[in-house]
Amino acid sequence: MRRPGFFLVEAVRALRNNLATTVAATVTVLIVLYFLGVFVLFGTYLYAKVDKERSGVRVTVYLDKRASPKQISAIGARLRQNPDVKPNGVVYVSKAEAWTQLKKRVPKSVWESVLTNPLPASWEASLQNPSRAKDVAASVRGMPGAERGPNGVRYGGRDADRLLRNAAVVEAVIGGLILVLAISAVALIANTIRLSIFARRREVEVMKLVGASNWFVRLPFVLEGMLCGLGGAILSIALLGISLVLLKDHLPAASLNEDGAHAIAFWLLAPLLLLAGTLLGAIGSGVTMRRFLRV
Amino acid sequence: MLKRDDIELEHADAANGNGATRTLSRGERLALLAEEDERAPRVKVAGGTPMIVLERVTKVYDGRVVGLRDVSLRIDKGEWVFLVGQSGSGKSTFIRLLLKELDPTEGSILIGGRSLATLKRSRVSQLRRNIGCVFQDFKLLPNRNTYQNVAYALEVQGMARHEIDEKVPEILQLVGLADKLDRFPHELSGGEQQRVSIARAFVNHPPLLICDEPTGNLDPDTSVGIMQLLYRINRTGTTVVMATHDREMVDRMRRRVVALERGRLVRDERRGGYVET
Repeated sequence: MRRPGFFLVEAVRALRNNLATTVAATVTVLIVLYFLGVFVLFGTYLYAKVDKERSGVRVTVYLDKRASPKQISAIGARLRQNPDVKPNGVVYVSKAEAWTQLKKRVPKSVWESVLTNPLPASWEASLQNPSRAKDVAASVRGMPGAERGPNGVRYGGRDADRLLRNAAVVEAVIGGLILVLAISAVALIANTIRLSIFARRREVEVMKLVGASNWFVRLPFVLEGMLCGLGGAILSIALLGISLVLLKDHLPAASLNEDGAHAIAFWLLAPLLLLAGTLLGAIGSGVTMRRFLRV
Repeated sequence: MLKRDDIELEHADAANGNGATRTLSRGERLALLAEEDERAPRVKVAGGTPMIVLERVTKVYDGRVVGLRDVSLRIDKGEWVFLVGQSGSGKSTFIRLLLKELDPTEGSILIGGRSLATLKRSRVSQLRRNIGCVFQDFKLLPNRNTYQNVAYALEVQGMARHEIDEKVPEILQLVGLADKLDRFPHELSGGEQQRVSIARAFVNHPPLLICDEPTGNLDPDTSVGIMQLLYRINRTGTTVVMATHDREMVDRMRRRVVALERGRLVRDERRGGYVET
């Protein structure tokens, strides 16, 4: 095409001439992308949080008071040999160390009155794959030197299994929500643009009678959709930014979290939303156009 | 039928450029027009391939309603043809077939020696650039002014801006709208809108001009000016096919008349009238 600017001029003209539809489409994109942004922010935050928890899953083997040094090192060796355990991920925590760690975690009032150190020594193994925690635990359970009973070997705190199960659920829910939102966005935009095109189907008919090819008619419409999408995306990003600044102190997802789990960075989210908006607009109008070009 | 001969011309259409005196009746003006047309120099079009050939064309809608039934017809280059018939006689079907808005159920159509049946969908736009169209309802783009409406027909071909800027004022001058370039369709009278649509149809200088009741929405006097314009276009060698209900016009002009009745071609006269003579 000799004059690519022509189509942009055509698109902008159409946007101006159909201001109500333009506003409707833009606001649709704005709302959808705003919620999409919120979901992505929370979703990635939760995902990071779960991931963090997961990597924290450890197998702890409490050692019997009477365990011999030989027995202790045998247990350590067994853990180290396990392929599910991180290399160099096996640490010996002595009785004294365990006590010091506990003192750090728990308020003074709790341990002040305890005169003797009640904690056993232990092996702590970090895992390559947290879902294997149960098997790793089983491999050392009952070894001589390990404490007997169900609590002799623990993994990842009480709730490791539940946590892991929940992680999968959370991921699925967030992913599903984002998908549903994206689909409804396309449907909404397609519908808005369908109304706009329907109102202008006579115009399209005339264009075709004068000898405009399909793409010549379609391109301004698609550009129109893209511009609406882009506009909506920019507005939604602005709105998201404002929301984040306002809610910074109340939302864990908004600020850097002390436990190191972050939501997706805003500078990364912004171009993603721009892209999503533009694509939504283009797809929405492109898909809708097809039906009206058969003149 | 209204006796339009009796209507006095109180307001000669200022834009029609017809120097006729104000006291002439519409019929007399049309007769003058016909006479003028006889004498005026015409571009002689070499014979060769006919402009339009229909061979046993039948169009059936939804397998039941018959649009055209077994119509064969040949229209030569440079000819002027009136297409007459009642509503529902198949005039619109005929025109839509020529534009390949529809495909015939049976038979073949050739335009400029090219078969429409083998014309790919993607080439239909090319076909339409070579056929000018004028409709009863003008079919102008409402959000564009006179200039932009005409320019659009050139823009669709990807013509360069400087060429468009050259051709559009020229053709608008020809149709007598040089002073209304920036008016929008709703700011123009019916006659003026039809002039814009004729300018748009003819700006490419297509070899074929198809008019579907171009004067149907215009008052009798304005339509004389439109007819004069179309005659001038025809004299440049452009084939004109015009569907019309205007009995007086057809009777006065004494041109080739093709009559359709319930989809059948019932009459084809070299110098015919609206009804059989």
